[in-house]
Amino acid sequence: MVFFDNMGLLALTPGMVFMWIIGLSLIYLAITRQYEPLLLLPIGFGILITNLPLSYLMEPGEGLIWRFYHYGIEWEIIPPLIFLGLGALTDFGALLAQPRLIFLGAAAQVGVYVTFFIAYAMGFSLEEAATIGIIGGADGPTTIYLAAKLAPQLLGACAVAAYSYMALVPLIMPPIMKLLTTDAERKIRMKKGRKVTAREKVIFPLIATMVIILLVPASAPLIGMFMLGNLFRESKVVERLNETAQNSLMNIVTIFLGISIGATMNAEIFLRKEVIFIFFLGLFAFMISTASGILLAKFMNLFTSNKINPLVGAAGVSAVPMAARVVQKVGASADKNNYLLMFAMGPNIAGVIGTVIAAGIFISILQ
Amino acid sequence: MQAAFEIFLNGITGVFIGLTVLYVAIKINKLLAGREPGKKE
Repeated sequence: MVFFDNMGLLALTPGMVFMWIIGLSLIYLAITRQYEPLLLLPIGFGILITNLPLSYLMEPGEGLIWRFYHYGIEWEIIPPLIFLGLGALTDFGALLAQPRLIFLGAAAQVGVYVTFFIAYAMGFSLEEAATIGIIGGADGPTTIYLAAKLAPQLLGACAVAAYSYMALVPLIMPPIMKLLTTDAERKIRMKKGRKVTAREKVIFPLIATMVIILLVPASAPLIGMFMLGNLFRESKVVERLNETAQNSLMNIVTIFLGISIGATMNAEIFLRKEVIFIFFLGLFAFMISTASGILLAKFMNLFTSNKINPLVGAAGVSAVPMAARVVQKVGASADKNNYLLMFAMGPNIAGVIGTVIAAGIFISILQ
Repeated sequence: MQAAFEIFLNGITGVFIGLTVLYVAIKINKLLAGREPGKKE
């Protein structure tokens, strides 16, 4: 009977069943542990649905989710729109008040480039190594943007690695932070930054757009949208656009992003030994980025009387605002009256900008 | 390996230069707009 011949059940493979387990695990973690639920829930569902045989959802030119993927990610529309929302949600006040903390965001990119080098030495191509290295920036949309441009075959694995490690920031970062700092360093109380004027906040996105794009033109789509979103926020004259960018638009594109990423992970593509390496290298990148931010803060302290609490350096690995919250928590465990959250937000935001610049440099050299 | 090393060096240098220029831009922004209109420090 034709009905039986067309049943998906007959085309089921063990690899597909294994991918169901991965998809269901992500859904489980999103629902019960609330690990990055906004992303891991649709990604998990995308994995599940794309590994149901004969659904053809990712069939080029035909499949529903393929269209989301093609027009949203391959056309590079969704990651910049996510950045528009992130810009609208970001307050640059902490960075403007203490601009020297920007260098901690740069230091965190060391992990990106060290991992890139190691991945290449392990046999990945330059494009693949760049995509794996950028996981260390702990910035999901940038990872997806770079993967779509340089190594689309690694997109699913790199995106899931990035979002998984971002969710695991409270577990990954504290041991490194404690290992690299003394108790006395963790107790350093930083001097409060100056008050930033509203005018400075309005001018900053304009200046940052011009400066960064003039230096790294390939970062224009992400930085441009990020700063436009921030201009919406700080100008205070387009509250409707600001509100839309922060909420409705961000939520809509997150749905399409999540399910499209998940759907790229079919068993044939995902179940390869390279994917295991990607997860290990991504974790390594993340750890090096955390460590290099802390070490630069310690180095800067050699030259200044206005000491920086080195824990703040760990927040250079984007993962906004989770990394900054972890800094606050670890700092408070050494001195419960030490409030590091606002200081950590500076390098945290600088880390986002640093990762976009790093991605832009990869694109300009490799594409 | 040579190509990877060049990207490695270019990347790290580029990120630090990019954020250093942004640091200078923030300082200039502070000088130009760091005071509320009508207020003296």
